Amino acid sequence: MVLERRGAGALLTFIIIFLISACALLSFREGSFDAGIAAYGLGAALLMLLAYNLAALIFRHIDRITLVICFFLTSIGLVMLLRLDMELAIKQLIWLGLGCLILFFTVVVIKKARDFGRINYLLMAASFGLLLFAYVLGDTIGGAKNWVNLGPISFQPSEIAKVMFIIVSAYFFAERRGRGASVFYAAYVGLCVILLVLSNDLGAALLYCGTFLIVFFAGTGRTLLTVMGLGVGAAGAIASYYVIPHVKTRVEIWQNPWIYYQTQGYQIVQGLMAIAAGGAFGTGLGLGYPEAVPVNTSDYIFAAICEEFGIVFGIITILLYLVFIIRGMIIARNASSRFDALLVFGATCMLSLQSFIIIGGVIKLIPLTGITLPFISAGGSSFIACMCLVGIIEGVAVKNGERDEREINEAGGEVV
Amino acid sequence: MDGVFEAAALVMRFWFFAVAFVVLLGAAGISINEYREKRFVLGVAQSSIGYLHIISGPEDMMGENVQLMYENTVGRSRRVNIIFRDASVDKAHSQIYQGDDGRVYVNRLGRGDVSVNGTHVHDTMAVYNDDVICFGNVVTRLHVKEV
Repeated sequence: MVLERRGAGALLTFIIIFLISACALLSFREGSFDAGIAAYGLGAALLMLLAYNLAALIFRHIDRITLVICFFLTSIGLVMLLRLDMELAIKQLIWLGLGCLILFFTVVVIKKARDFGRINYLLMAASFGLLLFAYVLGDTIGGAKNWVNLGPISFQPSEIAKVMFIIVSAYFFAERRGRGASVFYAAYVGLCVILLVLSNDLGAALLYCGTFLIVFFAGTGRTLLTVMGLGVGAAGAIASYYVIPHVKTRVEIWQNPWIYYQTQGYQIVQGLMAIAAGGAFGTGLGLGYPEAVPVNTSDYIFAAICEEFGIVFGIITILLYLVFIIRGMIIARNASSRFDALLVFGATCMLSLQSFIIIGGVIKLIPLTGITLPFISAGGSSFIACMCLVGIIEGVAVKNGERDEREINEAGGEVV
Repeated sequence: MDGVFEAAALVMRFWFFAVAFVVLLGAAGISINEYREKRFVLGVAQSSIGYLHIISGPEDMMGENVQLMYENTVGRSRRVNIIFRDASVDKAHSQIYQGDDGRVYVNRLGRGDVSVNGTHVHDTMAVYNDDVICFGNVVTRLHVKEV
Protein backbone atom coordinates (compact mmCIF):
# COMPACT_ATOMS: atom_id res chain seq x y z
CA MET A 1 0.00 0.00 0.00
CA VAL A 2 1.76 3.10 -1.23
CA LEU A 3 0.39 6.62 -1.34
CA GLU A 4 2.15 8.51 -4.04
CA ARG A 5 2.23 12.23 -3.39
CA ARG A 6 1.77 14.11 -6.61
CA GLY A 7 4.46 16.64 -7.26
CA ALA A 8 3.63 19.84 -8.99
CA GLY A 9 7.04 20.29 -10.59
CA ALA A 10 5.63 19.98 -14.11
CA LEU A 11 3.05 22.68 -13.39
CA LEU A 12 5.75 24.91 -11.91
CA THR A 13 7.76 24.44 -15.12
CA PHE A 14 4.79 25.73 -17.14
CA ILE A 15 4.47 28.69 -14.79
CA ILE A 16 8.13 29.52 -15.24
CA ILE A 17 7.77 29.16 -19.00
CA PHE A 18 4.81 31.56 -18.84
CA LEU A 19 6.76 34.06 -16.78
CA ILE A 20 9.92 33.93 -18.89
CA SER A 21 8.11 34.03 -22.24
CA ALA A 22 5.96 36.98 -21.12
CA CYS A 23 9.03 38.85 -19.87
CA ALA A 24 10.92 38.01 -23.06
CA LEU A 25 8.06 39.47 -25.11
CA LEU A 26 7.85 42.59 -22.95
CA SER A 27 11.61 43.11 -23.14
CA PHE A 28 11.23 43.90 -26.86
CA ARG A 29 8.27 46.21 -26.37
CA GLU A 30 10.17 49.48 -26.65
CA GLY A 31 11.75 48.56 -29.96
CA SER A 32 15.06 47.31 -28.58
CA PHE A 33 15.98 44.54 -26.15
CA ASP A 34 15.57 45.60 -22.52
CA ALA A 35 17.87 43.40 -20.46
CA GLY A 36 16.30 44.69 -17.23
CA ILE A 37 12.92 43.15 -18.04
CA ALA A 38 14.50 39.85 -19.08
CA ALA A 39 16.54 39.81 -15.85
CA TYR A 40 13.36 40.54 -13.90
CA GLY A 41 11.67 37.50 -15.44
CA LEU A 42 14.64 35.27 -14.67
CA GLY A 43 14.83 36.61 -11.11
CA ALA A 44 11.12 36.01 -10.48
CA ALA A 45 11.36 32.50 -11.96
CA LEU A 46 14.39 31.66 -9.81
CA LEU A 47 12.68 33.00 -6.70
CA MET A 48 9.61 30.83 -7.31
CA LEU A 49 11.74 27.76 -8.05
CA LEU A 50 13.73 28.31 -4.89
CA ALA A 51 10.65 28.92 -2.74
CA TYR A 52 8.83 25.86 -4.12
CA ASN A 53 11.79 23.52 -3.66
CA LEU A 54 12.60 24.86 -0.21
CA ALA A 55 8.98 24.48 0.84
CA ALA A 56 8.85 20.91 -0.46
CA LEU A 57 12.17 20.13 1.26
CA ILE A 58 11.36 21.65 4.66
CA PHE A 59 7.71 20.68 4.81
CA ARG A 60 7.34 17.21 3.29
CA HIS A 61 3.56 17.35 3.33
CA ILE A 62 3.02 20.88 2.06
CA ASP A 63 0.12 21.12 -0.39
CA ARG A 64 2.14 21.66 -3.55
CA ILE A 65 -0.78 22.33 -5.89
CA THR A 66 -2.07 25.13 -3.65
CA LEU A 67 1.41 26.65 -3.61
CA VAL A 68 1.77 26.34 -7.38
CA ILE A 69 -1.64 27.96 -8.02
CA CYS A 70 -0.66 30.78 -5.69
CA PHE A 71 2.61 31.20 -7.66
CA PHE A 72 0.80 31.18 -11.01
CA LEU A 73 -1.61 33.89 -9.88
CA THR A 74 1.36 35.86 -8.55
CA SER A 75 3.21 35.49 -11.85
CA ILE A 76 0.16 36.79 -13.77
CA GLY A 77 0.26 39.80 -11.46
CA LEU A 78 4.02 40.27 -11.91
CA VAL A 79 3.73 40.17 -15.71
CA MET A 80 0.85 42.64 -15.70
CA LEU A 81 2.67 44.98 -13.32
CA LEU A 82 5.81 44.74 -15.42
CA ARG A 83 3.71 45.79 -18.39
CA LEU A 84 2.06 48.68 -16.51
CA ASP A 85 4.61 50.00 -14.03
CA MET A 86 8.17 48.70 -13.76
CA GLU A 87 8.74 50.32 -10.37
CA LEU A 88 5.67 48.64 -8.87
CA ALA A 89 6.69 45.34 -10.45
CA ILE A 90 10.10 45.47 -8.73
CA LYS A 91 8.42 46.29 -5.42
CA GLN A 92 6.02 43.39 -5.92
CA LEU A 93 8.94 41.03 -6.56
CA ILE A 94 10.46 42.12 -3.23
CA TRP A 95 7.06 41.50 -1.60
CA LEU A 96 7.05 38.04 -3.17
CA GLY A 97 10.39 37.25 -1.54
CA LEU A 98 9.21 38.56 1.82
CA GLY A 99 5.85 36.85 1.38
CA CYS A 100 7.56 33.47 0.89
CA LEU A 101 9.52 33.96 4.12
CA ILE A 102 6.30 34.88 5.93
CA LEU A 103 4.57 31.86 4.43
CA PHE A 104 7.32 29.56 5.80
CA PHE A 105 7.11 31.26 9.19
CA THR A 106 3.30 30.92 9.30
CA VAL A 107 3.48 27.23 8.35
CA VAL A 108 5.91 26.61 11.25
CA VAL A 109 3.69 28.53 13.70
CA ILE A 110 0.47 26.80 12.62
CA LYS A 111 2.18 23.40 12.69
CA LYS A 112 3.30 23.93 16.29
CA ALA A 113 0.23 25.73 17.61
CA ARG A 114 -2.82 23.99 19.02
CA ASP A 115 -5.26 26.90 19.18
CA PHE A 116 -3.17 29.89 20.41
CA GLY A 117 -5.09 29.87 23.72
CA ARG A 118 -5.03 33.19 25.51
CA ILE A 119 -2.93 34.79 22.76
CA ASN A 120 -6.26 35.10 20.96
CA TYR A 121 -7.27 37.91 23.32
CA LEU A 122 -4.00 39.65 22.45
CA LEU A 123 -4.69 39.13 18.73
CA MET A 124 -8.18 40.50 19.28
CA ALA A 125 -6.81 43.64 20.93
CA ALA A 126 -4.07 43.99 18.29
CA SER A 127 -6.44 43.69 15.33
CA PHE A 128 -8.93 46.11 16.86
CA GLY A 129 -6.07 48.46 17.73
CA LEU A 130 -4.80 48.37 14.15
CA LEU A 131 -8.24 49.25 12.75
CA LEU A 132 -8.66 52.01 15.33
CA PHE A 133 -5.21 53.32 14.49
CA ALA A 134 -6.14 53.50 10.80
CA TYR A 135 -9.41 55.24 11.62
CA VAL A 136 -7.78 57.85 13.87
CA LEU A 137 -4.41 58.43 12.20
CA GLY A 138 -4.86 56.92 8.76
CA ASP A 139 -4.55 58.66 5.41
CA THR A 140 -7.42 58.74 2.97
CA ILE A 141 -6.55 57.14 -0.36
CA GLY A 142 -9.23 56.40 -2.96
CA GLY A 143 -12.00 57.56 -0.62
CA ALA A 144 -11.13 55.12 2.19
CA LYS A 145 -9.20 56.06 5.32
CA ASN A 146 -7.24 52.84 5.48
CA TRP A 147 -3.58 53.68 5.00
CA VAL A 148 -1.09 54.39 7.74
CA ASN A 149 2.19 56.17 7.02
CA LEU A 150 5.05 55.57 9.44
CA GLY A 151 7.89 57.46 7.80
CA PRO A 152 9.28 55.26 5.04
CA ILE A 153 6.77 52.49 5.71
CA SER A 154 3.12 52.71 4.74
CA PHE A 155 0.67 49.88 5.12
CA GLN A 156 -3.02 48.96 5.29
CA PRO A 157 -3.82 47.87 8.88
CA SER A 158 -7.06 46.15 7.77
CA GLU A 159 -5.00 43.67 5.72
CA ILE A 160 -2.86 42.64 8.69
CA ALA A 161 -5.88 42.64 11.02
CA LYS A 162 -7.81 40.23 8.80
CA VAL A 163 -5.31 37.43 9.46
CA MET A 164 -5.77 37.95 13.22
CA PHE A 165 -9.54 38.15 12.70
CA ILE A 166 -9.53 34.67 11.13
CA ILE A 167 -7.48 33.16 13.98
CA VAL A 168 -9.69 34.77 16.65
CA SER A 169 -12.89 33.65 14.87
CA ALA A 170 -11.66 30.05 14.55
CA TYR A 171 -10.75 30.04 18.25
CA PHE A 172 -14.11 31.33 19.47
CA PHE A 173 -16.18 29.01 17.29
CA ALA A 174 -13.99 26.00 18.06
CA GLU A 175 -13.86 26.53 21.80
CA ARG A 176 -17.44 27.73 22.44
CA ARG A 177 -16.46 29.23 25.75
CA GLY A 178 -19.96 30.18 26.90
CA ARG A 179 -22.33 33.08 26.54
CA GLY A 180 -20.00 35.71 28.01
CA ALA A 181 -17.22 34.94 25.55
CA SER A 182 -19.71 34.83 22.64
CA VAL A 183 -21.02 38.28 23.51
CA PHE A 184 -17.45 39.54 23.84
CA TYR A 185 -16.54 38.08 20.44
CA ALA A 186 -19.73 39.43 18.80
CA ALA A 187 -18.90 42.90 20.18
CA TYR A 188 -15.40 42.59 18.73
CA VAL A 189 -16.73 41.70 15.26
CA GLY A 190 -19.33 44.48 15.40
CA LEU A 191 -16.78 47.09 16.46
CA CYS A 192 -14.31 45.99 13.76
CA VAL A 193 -16.98 46.29 11.06
CA ILE A 194 -18.20 49.67 12.40
CA LEU A 195 -14.63 51.00 12.35
CA LEU A 196 -14.18 49.82 8.76
CA VAL A 197 -17.47 51.39 7.67
CA LEU A 198 -16.56 54.66 9.42
CA SER A 199 -13.20 54.56 7.63
CA ASN A 200 -15.12 54.16 4.34
CA ASP A 201 -13.24 50.90 3.76
CA LEU A 202 -16.41 49.20 2.54
CA GLY A 203 -14.67 46.37 0.72
CA ALA A 204 -12.90 45.29 3.90
CA ALA A 205 -16.12 45.71 5.92
CA LEU A 206 -17.95 43.45 3.48
CA LEU A 207 -15.09 40.97 3.62
CA TYR A 208 -15.05 40.83 7.42
CA CYS A 209 -18.86 40.55 7.61
CA GLY A 210 -19.09 37.85 4.95
CA THR A 211 -16.24 35.80 6.40
CA PHE A 212 -17.74 36.08 9.89
CA LEU A 213 -21.13 34.83 8.71
CA ILE A 214 -19.68 31.91 6.73
CA VAL A 215 -17.39 30.85 9.60
CA PHE A 216 -20.27 31.32 12.05
CA PHE A 217 -22.44 28.95 10.02
CA ALA A 218 -19.62 26.43 9.65
CA GLY A 219 -18.74 26.66 13.33
CA THR A 220 -22.21 26.54 14.85
CA GLY A 221 -24.44 25.04 12.15
CA ARG A 222 -27.23 27.40 13.23
CA THR A 223 -29.17 28.24 10.08
CA LEU A 224 -31.70 30.55 11.71
CA LEU A 225 -29.04 32.67 13.41
CA THR A 226 -27.03 32.80 10.18
CA VAL A 227 -30.10 33.95 8.23
CA MET A 228 -30.75 36.52 10.96
CA GLY A 229 -27.12 37.63 10.64
CA LEU A 230 -27.58 37.95 6.88
CA GLY A 231 -30.72 39.99 7.54
CA VAL A 232 -28.85 42.30 9.91
CA GLY A 233 -26.09 42.63 7.29
CA ALA A 234 -28.63 43.44 4.58
CA ALA A 235 -30.38 45.95 6.84
CA GLY A 236 -27.00 47.52 7.60
CA ALA A 237 -26.22 47.74 3.88
CA ILE A 238 -29.60 49.36 3.15
CA ALA A 239 -29.18 51.78 6.08
CA SER A 240 -25.68 52.73 4.90
CA TYR A 241 -27.15 53.41 1.44
CA TYR A 242 -29.35 56.13 2.96
CA VAL A 243 -26.93 57.37 5.63
CA ILE A 244 -23.52 57.26 3.93
CA PRO A 245 -23.40 59.32 0.70
CA HIS A 246 -20.34 57.38 -0.49
CA VAL A 247 -22.34 54.12 -0.49
CA LYS A 248 -25.30 55.71 -2.28
CA THR A 249 -23.00 57.01 -5.00
CA ARG A 250 -21.38 53.58 -5.43
CA VAL A 251 -24.76 51.87 -5.82
CA GLU A 252 -26.05 54.47 -8.27
CA ILE A 253 -22.90 54.17 -10.34
CA TRP A 254 -23.26 50.41 -10.32
CA GLN A 255 -26.87 50.63 -11.52
CA ASN A 256 -25.98 52.79 -14.49
CA PRO A 257 -22.33 53.75 -14.81
CA TRP A 258 -22.79 55.12 -18.33
CA ILE A 259 -24.60 58.27 -17.22
CA TYR A 260 -21.73 59.03 -14.80
CA TYR A 261 -19.09 58.21 -17.40
CA GLN A 262 -17.36 61.60 -17.18
CA THR A 263 -17.28 61.59 -13.38
CA GLN A 264 -17.56 58.79 -10.81
CA GLY A 265 -18.55 56.12 -13.34
CA TYR A 266 -15.38 56.58 -15.38
CA GLN A 267 -13.50 53.72 -13.72
CA ILE A 268 -16.27 51.13 -14.15
CA VAL A 269 -16.98 52.12 -17.74
CA GLN A 270 -13.29 52.11 -18.67
CA GLY A 271 -12.94 48.72 -17.01
CA LEU A 272 -15.89 47.29 -18.92
CA MET A 273 -14.63 48.76 -22.18
CA ALA A 274 -11.16 47.30 -21.54
CA ILE A 275 -12.65 43.83 -20.98
CA ALA A 276 -14.78 44.16 -24.12
CA ALA A 277 -11.82 45.43 -26.15
CA GLY A 278 -9.83 42.36 -25.22
CA GLY A 279 -12.38 39.93 -26.62
CA ALA A 280 -11.91 36.20 -26.19
CA PHE A 281 -8.11 36.05 -26.55
CA GLY A 282 -7.10 39.61 -25.74
CA THR A 283 -5.36 42.35 -27.67
CA GLY A 284 -1.96 40.80 -27.01
CA LEU A 285 0.47 41.55 -24.19
CA GLY A 286 1.67 45.13 -24.61
CA LEU A 287 -0.79 45.92 -27.39
CA GLY A 288 -3.80 46.99 -25.36
CA TYR A 289 -4.47 50.27 -23.63
CA PRO A 290 -5.00 49.34 -19.97
CA GLU A 291 -3.46 52.68 -18.95
CA ALA A 292 -6.90 54.15 -19.63
CA VAL A 293 -8.35 52.25 -16.66
CA PRO A 294 -7.82 54.02 -13.32
CA VAL A 295 -6.17 51.97 -10.53
CA ASN A 296 -5.18 49.36 -13.11
CA THR A 297 -2.36 47.95 -11.00
CA SER A 298 -4.48 47.30 -7.95
CA ASP A 299 -8.28 47.05 -7.78
CA TYR A 300 -8.74 47.03 -11.56
CA ILE A 301 -5.92 44.70 -12.55
CA PHE A 302 -8.47 42.05 -13.61
CA ALA A 303 -9.76 44.40 -16.33
CA ALA A 304 -6.20 44.92 -17.56
CA ILE A 305 -5.62 41.14 -17.62
CA CYS A 306 -8.83 40.57 -19.58
CA GLU A 307 -7.92 43.29 -22.06
CA GLU A 308 -4.44 41.99 -22.93
CA PHE A 309 -4.76 38.25 -22.24
CA GLY A 310 -8.46 37.91 -23.12
CA ILE A 311 -11.69 36.99 -21.39
CA VAL A 312 -10.94 33.25 -21.73
CA PHE A 313 -7.71 33.80 -19.80
CA GLY A 314 -9.71 35.77 -17.22
CA ILE A 315 -12.11 32.83 -16.86
CA ILE A 316 -9.14 30.46 -16.42
CA THR A 317 -7.86 32.78 -13.68
CA ILE A 318 -11.25 32.57 -11.93
CA LEU A 319 -11.24 28.77 -12.31
CA LEU A 320 -7.77 28.64 -10.76
CA TYR A 321 -9.13 30.52 -7.76
CA LEU A 322 -11.88 27.91 -7.67
CA VAL A 323 -9.38 25.01 -7.63
CA PHE A 324 -7.50 26.85 -4.88
CA ILE A 325 -10.73 27.20 -2.87
CA ILE A 326 -11.69 23.53 -3.35
CA ARG A 327 -8.24 22.42 -2.18
CA GLY A 328 -8.60 24.70 0.85
CA MET A 329 -11.98 23.15 1.66
CA ILE A 330 -10.55 19.62 1.36
CA ILE A 331 -7.71 20.55 3.74
CA ALA A 332 -10.26 22.02 6.17
CA ARG A 333 -12.39 18.88 5.96
CA ASN A 334 -9.40 16.62 6.68
CA ALA A 335 -8.18 18.67 9.63
CA SER A 336 -7.93 16.75 12.88
CA SER A 337 -9.10 19.53 15.20
CA ARG A 338 -12.08 21.84 15.03
CA PHE A 339 -9.82 24.86 15.41
CA ASP A 340 -7.63 23.83 12.46
CA ALA A 341 -10.68 23.11 10.31
CA LEU A 342 -12.26 26.50 11.04
CA LEU A 343 -8.93 28.26 10.61
CA VAL A 344 -8.41 26.88 7.10
CA PHE A 345 -12.07 27.28 6.24
CA GLY A 346 -11.97 30.93 7.34
CA ALA A 347 -8.73 31.65 5.46
CA THR A 348 -10.08 30.03 2.28
CA CYS A 349 -13.41 31.85 2.59
CA MET A 350 -11.68 35.16 3.10
CA LEU A 351 -9.53 34.74 -0.02
CA SER A 352 -12.46 33.51 -2.11
CA LEU A 353 -14.77 36.25 -0.90
CA GLN A 354 -12.09 38.86 -1.59
CA SER A 355 -11.68 37.55 -5.15
CA PHE A 356 -15.45 37.50 -5.65
CA ILE A 357 -15.94 41.06 -4.30
CA ILE A 358 -13.33 42.62 -6.59
CA ILE A 359 -13.93 40.53 -9.72
CA GLY A 360 -17.70 40.99 -9.21
CA GLY A 361 -17.16 44.73 -8.87
CA VAL A 362 -14.98 44.95 -11.99
CA ILE A 363 -17.43 43.04 -14.18
CA LYS A 364 -20.37 44.99 -12.68
CA LEU A 365 -21.96 41.99 -11.01
CA ILE A 366 -22.03 43.78 -7.66
CA PRO A 367 -21.35 47.41 -6.64
CA LEU A 368 -17.64 48.16 -6.75
CA THR A 369 -15.76 48.32 -3.48
CA GLY A 370 -12.05 48.97 -3.37
CA ILE A 371 -10.21 45.80 -2.51
CA THR A 372 -7.24 44.00 -4.00
CA LEU A 373 -7.31 40.84 -6.11
CA PRO A 374 -5.49 38.20 -4.02
CA PHE A 375 -1.91 37.43 -5.19
CA ILE A 376 -2.32 39.45 -8.41
CA SER A 377 -2.84 43.10 -7.43
CA ALA A 378 0.09 45.30 -6.49
CA GLY A 379 0.40 46.07 -2.80
CA GLY A 380 2.64 44.86 -0.04
CA SER A 381 0.13 44.66 2.84
CA SER A 382 -2.38 42.76 0.74
CA PHE A 383 0.21 40.36 -0.65
CA ILE A 384 1.75 39.65 2.75
CA ALA A 385 -1.72 39.05 4.24
CA CYS A 386 -2.56 36.66 1.39
CA MET A 387 0.70 34.76 1.93
CA CYS A 388 -0.10 34.57 5.65
CA LEU A 389 -3.49 33.06 4.81
CA VAL A 390 -1.81 30.58 2.43
CA GLY A 391 0.63 29.82 5.27
CA ILE A 392 -2.34 29.00 7.52
CA ILE A 393 -3.79 26.67 4.88
CA GLU A 394 -0.41 25.03 4.25
CA GLY A 395 0.33 24.68 7.96
CA VAL A 396 -2.81 22.64 8.49
CA ALA A 397 -2.10 20.68 5.27
CA VAL A 398 1.31 19.73 6.72
CA LYS A 399 -0.35 18.60 9.97
CA ASN A 400 -2.91 16.54 8.01
CA GLY A 401 -0.18 14.98 5.87
CA GLU A 402 1.90 13.96 8.89
CA ARG A 403 -1.16 12.37 10.54
CA ASP A 404 -2.09 10.52 7.33
CA GLU A 405 1.47 9.26 6.94
CA ARG A 406 1.47 7.94 10.50
CA GLU A 407 -1.80 6.15 9.82
CA ILE A 408 -0.54 4.62 6.57
CA ASN A 409 2.76 3.57 8.21
CA GLU A 410 0.86 1.85 11.01
CA ALA A 411 -1.01 -0.14 8.38
CA GLY A 412 2.28 -1.19 6.81
CA GLY A 413 2.12 1.20 3.90
CA GLU A 414 4.24 4.15 2.99
CA VAL A 415 3.97 7.61 1.56
CA VAL A 416 6.43 8.36 -1.23
CA MET B 1 10.80 46.18 -34.94
CA ASP B 2 7.34 47.39 -33.84
CA GLY B 3 5.71 45.21 -36.46
CA VAL B 4 7.67 42.16 -35.30
CA PHE B 5 6.70 42.85 -31.67
CA GLU B 6 3.06 43.27 -32.65
CA ALA B 7 3.05 40.01 -34.60
CA ALA B 8 4.79 38.19 -31.74
CA ALA B 9 2.36 39.60 -29.16
CA LEU B 10 -0.61 38.56 -31.30
CA VAL B 11 0.68 35.03 -31.74
CA MET B 12 1.70 34.69 -28.10
CA ARG B 13 -1.86 35.40 -26.95
CA PHE B 14 -2.63 31.78 -27.82
CA TRP B 15 0.57 30.59 -26.19
CA PHE B 16 -0.35 32.29 -22.90
CA PHE B 17 -3.85 30.88 -23.11
CA ALA B 18 -2.46 27.39 -23.74
CA VAL B 19 -0.04 27.59 -20.81
CA ALA B 20 -2.75 28.84 -18.44
CA PHE B 21 -5.11 26.14 -19.69
CA VAL B 22 -2.51 23.43 -19.11
CA VAL B 23 -1.85 24.75 -15.58
CA LEU B 24 -5.60 24.76 -14.87
CA LEU B 25 -6.15 21.27 -16.29
CA GLY B 26 -3.06 19.96 -14.53
CA ALA B 27 -4.05 21.44 -11.18
CA ALA B 28 -7.62 20.17 -11.48
CA GLY B 29 -6.56 16.73 -12.79
CA ILE B 30 -3.89 16.20 -10.14
CA SER B 31 -6.33 17.37 -7.46
CA ILE B 32 -9.01 14.88 -8.53
CA ASN B 33 -6.59 11.92 -8.86
CA GLU B 34 -4.83 12.74 -5.61
CA TYR B 35 -8.14 13.05 -3.77
CA ARG B 36 -9.39 9.68 -5.08
CA GLU B 37 -6.11 7.89 -4.40
CA LYS B 38 -5.75 9.37 -0.92
CA ARG B 39 -9.31 8.47 -0.03
CA PHE B 40 -8.78 4.90 -1.19
CA VAL B 41 -5.43 4.40 0.57
CA LEU B 42 -6.61 6.04 3.80
CA GLY B 43 -9.81 3.99 3.69
CA VAL B 44 -7.77 0.81 3.41
CA ALA B 45 -5.33 1.99 6.11
CA GLN B 46 -8.19 2.79 8.46
CA SER B 47 -9.74 -0.64 8.05
CA SER B 48 -6.42 -2.37 8.64
CA ILE B 49 -5.46 -3.84 12.02
CA GLY B 50 -1.71 -3.76 11.36
CA TYR B 51 0.76 -5.57 9.16
CA LEU B 52 3.18 -8.48 8.92
CA HIS B 53 6.78 -7.57 8.15
CA ILE B 54 8.44 -10.43 6.28
CA ILE B 55 11.80 -11.23 7.83
CA SER B 56 12.60 -14.32 5.79
CA GLY B 57 10.76 -16.38 3.20
CA PRO B 58 10.15 -16.02 -0.54
CA GLU B 59 12.85 -13.80 -1.99
CA ASP B 60 10.45 -11.55 -3.86
CA MET B 61 8.66 -10.72 -0.61
CA MET B 62 11.61 -10.20 1.71
CA GLY B 63 11.39 -6.98 3.69
CA GLU B 64 7.85 -6.30 2.49
CA ASN B 65 4.94 -5.32 4.71
CA VAL B 66 1.75 -7.33 4.24
CA GLN B 67 -1.31 -5.53 5.40
CA LEU B 68 -3.74 -7.18 7.79
CA MET B 69 -7.48 -6.64 7.62
CA TYR B 70 -9.93 -7.79 10.31
CA GLU B 71 -9.81 -11.35 8.99
CA ASN B 72 -6.97 -12.78 6.89
CA THR B 73 -6.21 -16.23 5.56
CA VAL B 74 -2.56 -17.05 4.98
CA GLY B 75 -1.55 -19.72 2.48
CA ARG B 76 -0.12 -20.65 -0.89
CA SER B 77 -3.38 -20.77 -2.86
CA ARG B 78 -4.75 -17.91 -4.93
CA ARG B 79 -7.93 -18.00 -2.90
CA VAL B 80 -6.35 -16.71 0.31
CA ASN B 81 -5.73 -13.06 1.23
CA ILE B 82 -2.07 -13.34 2.07
CA ILE B 83 -0.17 -15.46 -0.43
CA PHE B 84 3.29 -16.86 0.41
CA ARG B 85 4.70 -18.80 -2.56
CA ASP B 86 6.75 -21.18 -0.45
CA ALA B 87 6.69 -24.98 -0.44
CA SER B 88 6.54 -25.07 3.37
CA VAL B 89 3.26 -23.16 3.35
CA ASP B 90 -0.03 -25.03 2.89
CA LYS B 91 -2.66 -23.90 0.41
CA ALA B 92 -4.70 -22.56 3.34
CA HIS B 93 -2.22 -22.45 6.17
CA SER B 94 -3.45 -20.19 8.91
CA GLN B 95 -5.78 -17.37 9.85
CA ILE B 96 -5.01 -14.07 11.56
CA TYR B 97 -8.01 -12.13 12.79
CA GLN B 98 -9.16 -9.59 15.30
CA GLY B 99 -11.45 -11.04 17.93
CA ASP B 100 -14.48 -9.37 19.49
CA ASP B 101 -12.30 -8.47 22.47
CA GLY B 102 -10.07 -6.37 20.18
CA ARG B 103 -7.11 -8.75 20.46
CA VAL B 104 -5.43 -10.34 17.45
CA TYR B 105 -5.41 -14.14 17.15
CA VAL B 106 -3.61 -16.60 14.94
CA ASN B 107 -4.78 -20.17 14.29
CA ARG B 108 -3.74 -23.16 12.23
CA LEU B 109 -5.84 -24.38 9.32
CA GLY B 110 -3.75 -27.09 7.69
CA ARG B 111 -0.99 -29.43 8.69
CA GLY B 112 1.76 -26.88 8.19
CA ASP B 113 3.63 -25.43 11.10
CA VAL B 114 2.59 -22.14 12.70
CA SER B 115 4.61 -20.78 15.60
CA VAL B 116 4.62 -17.59 17.65
CA ASN B 117 7.94 -16.59 19.20
CA GLY B 118 9.05 -20.21 18.85
CA THR B 119 5.93 -21.69 20.46
CA HIS B 120 3.93 -23.94 18.17
CA VAL B 121 0.30 -23.01 17.62
CA HIS B 122 -1.94 -26.06 17.89
CA ASP B 123 -5.33 -24.37 17.82
CA THR B 124 -5.63 -20.61 18.37
CA MET B 125 -3.25 -18.22 20.10
CA ALA B 126 -3.43 -14.52 20.93
CA VAL B 127 -0.62 -12.53 19.35
CA TYR B 128 0.76 -9.12 20.23
CA ASN B 129 2.81 -6.33 18.74
CA ASP B 130 6.36 -7.37 17.76
CA ASP B 131 5.61 -11.10 18.03
CA VAL B 132 7.52 -13.22 15.52
CA ILE B 133 5.08 -15.47 13.68
CA CYS B 134 6.33 -18.30 11.44
CA PHE B 135 4.21 -19.89 8.74
CA GLY B 136 6.26 -22.88 7.67
CA ASN B 137 9.63 -21.37 6.73
CA VAL B 138 8.23 -17.89 6.30
CA VAL B 139 9.20 -15.72 9.25
CA THR B 140 7.24 -12.54 9.91
CA ARG B 141 7.02 -9.90 12.61
CA LEU B 142 3.59 -8.68 13.63
CA HIS B 143 2.84 -4.97 13.95
CA VAL B 144 -0.52 -4.27 15.49
CA LYS B 145 -2.00 -0.83 14.93
CA GLU B 146 -2.38 1.27 18.04
CA VAL B 147 -6.00 2.09 18.74
